[in-house]
Amino acid sequence: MIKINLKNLEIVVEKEIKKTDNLKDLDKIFRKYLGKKGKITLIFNSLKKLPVNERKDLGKQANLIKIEIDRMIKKKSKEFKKEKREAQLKKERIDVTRPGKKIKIGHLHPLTLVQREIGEIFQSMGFSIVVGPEVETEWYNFDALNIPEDHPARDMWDTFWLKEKLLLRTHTSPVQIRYMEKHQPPLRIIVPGRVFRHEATDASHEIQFYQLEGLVVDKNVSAANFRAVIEEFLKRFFKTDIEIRLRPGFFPFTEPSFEIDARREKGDWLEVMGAGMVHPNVFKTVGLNPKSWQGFAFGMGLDRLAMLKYKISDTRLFYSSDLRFLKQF
Amino acid sequence: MKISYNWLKDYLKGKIPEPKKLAEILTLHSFEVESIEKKGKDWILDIDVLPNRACDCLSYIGIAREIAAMTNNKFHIPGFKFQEDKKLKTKDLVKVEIRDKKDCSRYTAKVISGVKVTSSPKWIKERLRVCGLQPINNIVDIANYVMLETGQPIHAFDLDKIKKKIIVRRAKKGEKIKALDEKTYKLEKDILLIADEKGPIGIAGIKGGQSTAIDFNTKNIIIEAASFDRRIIRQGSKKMKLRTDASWRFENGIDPNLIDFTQERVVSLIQEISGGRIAKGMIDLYPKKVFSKKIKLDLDYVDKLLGVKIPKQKVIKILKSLDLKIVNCKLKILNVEIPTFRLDISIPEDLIEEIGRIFGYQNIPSVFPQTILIPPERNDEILWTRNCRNILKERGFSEVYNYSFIGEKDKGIFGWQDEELLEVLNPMSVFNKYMRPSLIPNLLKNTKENLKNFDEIKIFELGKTFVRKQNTKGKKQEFLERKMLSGILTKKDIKDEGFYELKGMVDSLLNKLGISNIWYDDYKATPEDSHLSLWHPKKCAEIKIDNQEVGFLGQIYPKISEDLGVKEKVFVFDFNFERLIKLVSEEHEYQPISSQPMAIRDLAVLVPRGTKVVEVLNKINRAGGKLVQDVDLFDIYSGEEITQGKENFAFHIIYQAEDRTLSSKEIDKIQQRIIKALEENIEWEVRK
Repeated sequence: MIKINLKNLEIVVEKEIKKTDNLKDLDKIFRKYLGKKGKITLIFNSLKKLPVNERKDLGKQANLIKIEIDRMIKKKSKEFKKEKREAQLKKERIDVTRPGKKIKIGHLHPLTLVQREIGEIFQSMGFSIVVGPEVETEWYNFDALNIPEDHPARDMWDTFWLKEKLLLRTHTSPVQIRYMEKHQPPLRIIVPGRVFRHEATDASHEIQFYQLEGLVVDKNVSAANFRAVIEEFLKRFFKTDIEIRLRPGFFPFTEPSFEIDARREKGDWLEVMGAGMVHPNVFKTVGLNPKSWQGFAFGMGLDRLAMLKYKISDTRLFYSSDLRFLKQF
Repeated sequence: MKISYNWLKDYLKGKIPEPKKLAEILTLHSFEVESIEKKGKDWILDIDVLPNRACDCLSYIGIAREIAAMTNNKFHIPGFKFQEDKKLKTKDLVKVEIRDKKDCSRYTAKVISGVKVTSSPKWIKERLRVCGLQPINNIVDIANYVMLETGQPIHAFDLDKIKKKIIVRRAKKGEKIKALDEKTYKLEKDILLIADEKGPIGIAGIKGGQSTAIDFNTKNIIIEAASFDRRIIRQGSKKMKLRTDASWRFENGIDPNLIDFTQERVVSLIQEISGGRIAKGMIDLYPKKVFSKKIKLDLDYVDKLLGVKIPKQKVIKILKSLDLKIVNCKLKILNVEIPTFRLDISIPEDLIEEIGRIFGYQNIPSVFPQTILIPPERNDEILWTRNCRNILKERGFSEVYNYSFIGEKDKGIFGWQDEELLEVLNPMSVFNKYMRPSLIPNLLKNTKENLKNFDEIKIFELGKTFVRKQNTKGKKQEFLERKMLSGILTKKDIKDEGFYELKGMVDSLLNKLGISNIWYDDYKATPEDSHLSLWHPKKCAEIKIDNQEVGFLGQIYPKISEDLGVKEKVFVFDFNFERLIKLVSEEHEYQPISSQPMAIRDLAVLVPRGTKVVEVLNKINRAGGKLVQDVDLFDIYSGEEITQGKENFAFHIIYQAEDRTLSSKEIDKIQQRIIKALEENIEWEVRK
């Protein structure tokens, strides 16, 4: 009797569930059968009045039905929730073409960025970064670098003079001397820094600019080694294969001296740096025996490299402090 | 130097490469050719002769010799001849005296009588014009022509206009000369002169004088070829601001032995073109003849320095092609004789350069150095510079690079004194008369310009500043080159909150650098602080770490910003960067997160206006003890409802114990203690 009732009950409930079209009604069905006073709950409550054998049998059946109803309700509920969610999603939308919220962060100067990048490349090749003063003595800027007073070679560096034989360094090369005075070879350094030239300004000339000096001193350091190091540097900096050529140059502090031109994909040759093998007089000045040590030195203009890298046509922009320019980096 | 392709052919026996190819060869092996220009049937090569080769290559002969070495060609000088007249003796016609041998190592003179001064033949005129020289008359033109050919400057005097003898001497005070350019020059002492008994007749090595110039009536001439001290010529040319083709060559130094050939070449050309009788012999004051020197060259060193093996035979061939003589050759040591015209070669490395460039630098392979692996030294300054820049950038500040200079006007606006500033002796303009003693002036100017395009300015600069300081011992002045880190914050209609915005930024910068113990002290000017006027007297703080002052934070004195064209209030931080980075720390320790809950109680205090927050905070902290974990000021109010002359500070007080949950009873007790402590000050009233 009860058995059939239970079977029927399952079918009735199934029908009821099928008919519902919202969560609220579904909840009512749940309460009607499985709630505190629900029909199935009541069956369970009435079990204890039955004899043990019937109780066991009926309890088992009632439990099966309970599980089945619960499953059906949960399934239906899931369906409703899914429908609801989908309907909601259909209503919601945003305009992806509206602008993003501006994040206010600042910008670093392009010359800072270039110095960093170059510094990293050379550090990965074992170079230490060293700096020196911007106001120099005549001795460090010229004499110690084998550029005696009254030598026409001094005309290569138009100089801003200060009192007491002080001057604004015209190149970063004095730091070579300062470093070698205090450190024993082998050594590998680069020296980035601000330098000054007393000359009229235009799109490619400034009274101040940044230079990067390099110096390697060891027992056996050759022009061939220089070539390899500099090729590697240019390749990494411009992130492409770069063809370079060495041609004769003149610097009083190197012998032999080279000028280095570079080009990309058979383009025009561009002068990128000056270099050479450290002049024996420079070694003597810092108390190193030129018979025991050899080395190469190079110097390049960072403003120029930055101009090539970012395709900037006027060097004066670097010192304009114009945020319309700086915010692009 | 401008070189005519066709003229160059005179000195080379074989065929020479096409102009474009020739330019490329010269660029790769000798000197950069800056341009090639076609002129009629000729090409003009503009060759940038390197300073060390000015001694021999500011000439056709020098360039031709280079080309011969590089192209396996033969260098030669076209034949010429002349005839001396035995009846005329040079020494009877002209006398020369050198006052100081150091000024003039060689002086030669030849005399030609009965010349016919006319204009030059067309070919000479054309060749001079191609090289940028104006033809004048045949005698002067030949002198210039031979200078271009040999590199030795030559001067011709009208013999009959010279009073008795030629004297090489320094100028006396007050002397003047009318030069060939018709201008009268005042001569400073020490300028080297060619004079006769009456006075100056030429500025030695620089320019000839009008009084003895060759004119169309000139009959008898003296040809001067001399070697003047290059330093004296350089100094003189600089002092007189007069650079000529002659001074350019002299100041780089020229081989005195070049004179013999040059003199013969000049007189032969003059005789050929303008006729005349060449007097026998030559006045030749040459007390210390220069001889060629020898250099020992170790072939192993050649390979070692260039990093490429060059066979011995190849080395010898290269040296010979440059007219360098191999005296002898023992195994790997060459003894090389250097002709006197190569003033630039004095050590083995100079010879290695010659070998390298003729061999071709492009033939040197790329070989990575083999060296001991030493990790690069860490540079703390670079590291912290990098960190600071990043931190500021993240906080919305953009980096600028300004000029290292300030101008006369800035000096006035900021009221700097001469003795504080490092002056540039030769500025380009009034804008770079002094080295900047602070980064602030230029940052303010940047602010003005950028406010035209932006409503809010947040910029910073990290750079060197320069100030002069009176040495403590008194007399001696010294200067300080200091790295500073300064930044500016301003915006349209900015209020005093700007100060706190910048202060918050400074706090977070310093925290990121691992610095705690930061506090802000009222700015107290010391009497020697003349830049006091830079800051608003009541809106400026000294930034202190423990007891050391590392910088300033405040509003710029309004008149200064207005004078520089900024109407808005400008807030600035200004750090002594070197001092700052000595205090940074990379040490950082994790603090365990407390598992105990925290309780927050609010407290509002009514205080007289002008009371410092720090006074109230100190009281709260002291009375609260260690269970007060943090006190946070969240509001300052002084509007309606608040008694006139008073302000309301509102705090969140955060209570937390490390080891237990605090009961509300316990918290109430501490809170009461704090209230009591605050109200000890009868002017303070805790609002309940």
